[in-house]
Amino acid sequence: MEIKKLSRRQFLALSAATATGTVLAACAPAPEETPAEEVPAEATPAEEVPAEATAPPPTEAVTLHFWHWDNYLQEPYNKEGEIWAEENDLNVTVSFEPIPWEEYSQKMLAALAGGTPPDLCGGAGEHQVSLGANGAFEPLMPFIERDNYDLSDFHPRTLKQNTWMGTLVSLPYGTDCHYWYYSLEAFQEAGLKTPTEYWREGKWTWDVAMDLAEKLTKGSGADKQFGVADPGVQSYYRFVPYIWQNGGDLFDDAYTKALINEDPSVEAFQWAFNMRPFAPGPQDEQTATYRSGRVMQWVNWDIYYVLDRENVPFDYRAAPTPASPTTGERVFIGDACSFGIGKGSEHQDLAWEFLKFTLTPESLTRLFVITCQPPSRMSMFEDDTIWQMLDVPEPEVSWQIEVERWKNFRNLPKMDNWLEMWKAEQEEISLAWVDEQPLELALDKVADRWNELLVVAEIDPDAN
Amino acid sequence: MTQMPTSNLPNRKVRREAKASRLPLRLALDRPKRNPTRSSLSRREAIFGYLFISPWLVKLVVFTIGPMLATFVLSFTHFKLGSPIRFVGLDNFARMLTADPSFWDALKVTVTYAAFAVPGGLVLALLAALLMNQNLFLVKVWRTIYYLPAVVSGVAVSLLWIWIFHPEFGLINTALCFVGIEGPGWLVDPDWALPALILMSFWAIGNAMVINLAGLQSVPTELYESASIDGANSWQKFWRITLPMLSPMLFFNLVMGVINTFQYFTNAFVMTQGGPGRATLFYNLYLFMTAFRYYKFSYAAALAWVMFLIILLITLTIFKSSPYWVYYEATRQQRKKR
Repeated sequence: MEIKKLSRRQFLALSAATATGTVLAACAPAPEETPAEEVPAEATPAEEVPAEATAPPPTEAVTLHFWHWDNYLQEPYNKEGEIWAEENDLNVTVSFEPIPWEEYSQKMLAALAGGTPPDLCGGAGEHQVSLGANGAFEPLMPFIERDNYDLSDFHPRTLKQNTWMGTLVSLPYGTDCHYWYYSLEAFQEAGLKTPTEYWREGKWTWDVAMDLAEKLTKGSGADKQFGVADPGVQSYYRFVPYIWQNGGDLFDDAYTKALINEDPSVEAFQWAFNMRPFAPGPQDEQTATYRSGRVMQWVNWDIYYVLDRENVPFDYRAAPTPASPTTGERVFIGDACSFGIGKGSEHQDLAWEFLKFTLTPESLTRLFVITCQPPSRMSMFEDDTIWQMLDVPEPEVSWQIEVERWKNFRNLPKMDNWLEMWKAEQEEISLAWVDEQPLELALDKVADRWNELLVVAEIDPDAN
Repeated sequence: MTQMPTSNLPNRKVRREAKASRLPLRLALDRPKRNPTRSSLSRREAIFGYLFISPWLVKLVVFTIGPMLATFVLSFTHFKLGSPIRFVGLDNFARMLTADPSFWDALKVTVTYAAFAVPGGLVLALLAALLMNQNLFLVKVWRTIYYLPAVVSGVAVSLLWIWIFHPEFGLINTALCFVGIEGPGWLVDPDWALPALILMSFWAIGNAMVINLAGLQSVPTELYESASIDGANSWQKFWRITLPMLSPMLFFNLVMGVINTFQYFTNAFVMTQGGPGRATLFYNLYLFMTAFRYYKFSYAAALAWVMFLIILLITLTIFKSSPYWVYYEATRQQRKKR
């Protein structure tokens, strides 16, 4: 009998066919999902169901994988996991795994595609939309309805930020905003009124900030002291609120046209551009920083009021960002950082139980004391009790800023190509910043590019 | 003209075998026919052979050919994780060519970089190899120093060069300051960012230099001796002997240089992120951003295939041109024998 041999060519062909089949199978569309429930417009208060009643405790040891970008949260949340497991007599370990911010969505989507999603994961800003739009989270309303979980203590706008196309995908644990930090020593030395004092007098505006920046700038070369840091024209978190508070917006209500080149926006940019003589330029960005002691005023997230304590070589204080002199209004960025359940997680019920636990006022308070992460529950801002626990100067100022934020904050647009849009802004504005093109032209170019991108954008218009 | 009887003609299989084995047809016809049933020894040998190469084959098929095929299919779709794939025909390619200014900018940046970095790198690698081929003091140490950048991680090199290019405290501007020149902003200046990266590319000539050095050391000394007897000067020896004998190495370095520069990514990713403006938006960086920042996997797949075709085209052109400028001694000797 003739034995049929496998030729090299056949072997290669078979291998290629197998690999192709595997790849195509992996690329096959996911089975149809049941449509998720919509977030109720008015969440009704309801009693919380105890964890034991909804999720039977696991008999075998379980590890909940918890992904987030902020590595300073690792220890506190692992500790929260221990407390939760002990209180509920669970054989569960919470493993907080920090993933760098820049790689977060990428790794999440890769894990999702590979069928190994984290059980719990952070979501905020750009990641919130990119992950939401790519179906990386389990819809939360089925869990919320099952347990009659009370959402009334969360600001509806923070919930909207955590909702993609009507599906609530994550719940906020924190609400950030930017503070205007300043070197107290520099102000005392120059005999100037501080931003906090101006704010208390109701006179803390862009013009005052500019004046202070000029007065605090001195010296030259490597010893130059800068009065202010770049107000962040290339960071949407930092800069978009200035456009809003000057009466401008990024797009029209129907998302058909970019408005970034209209007067209120141009004025906001012009104010930032006028600060250039008093701020470190791109060439100084590595050496002239507030941490190096050469910048006297700067903007950063509220959490850095605590986190920077050991990094800044002088005594520094916080004020809110200045208001527009035209409108007198101060608008804050909506940044409700949150936790969601990874799509397809093996331990969804346990993840949900731990998520609920981390959102209890007790857990949020423990986290706040360690990290200064302002909590997401509005009731925790009724007085400055928890702020007094912070090891910062003038904790009541910090609380007052946060209270003001609750009154006037806005969410960024929710669109799947927002990062691409902002990249266009960065490209054009960075050229204007170094005088390669006029600001107005740069903003016109940004508007043109945004208008093109709007055509293909997937937009959730219900952002605010 | 008399027609040969068909029965006497070697069949197509024999002709193909003769062609494959590069034997004259007459010899191929004389070869004994192979036994259709293989001996168990040769079969075992074949099985083991495949087993030994299978890790590489599996890797090739699963991690290279598989993803390539997947991206090829993907490039004709609109794909989003968690949603069904939608076929869109040539839409991604049409958008790229007609409605995406970033694509053209990225291509322009990459081609400009390649146009300067590849020839510049080749010349410098050749000069360095000529220098390292001399009987210098501590020549082995010098060779190691020149080769060192080739083994240092791309990210580490980038961080080092960020400091070298620093406008205020950087090595280059400090040196320029000593001779009374105010250095440019390098990486923060849109006009200087790309030239800075081109300049930096010349630092990593170690690989090409070592290949050239090996080539130089294999040039028979008799050729130089004969040339000296004939009265050739140093330049004539270099132009008539060294360069032709080194041309296969230059050819290899050119091909690899073109492929590497068109795939340039790490330094731009770490040092400039494509900025200022779009001054250093390299093609691969744009591709990466499209896929992993903007999550447009299908469009990124189309971008990847266009880049593949561009590299393929340039590489084929270089290969086609090689008979005119690459000298292979073995080929010449074979020709002479015939």
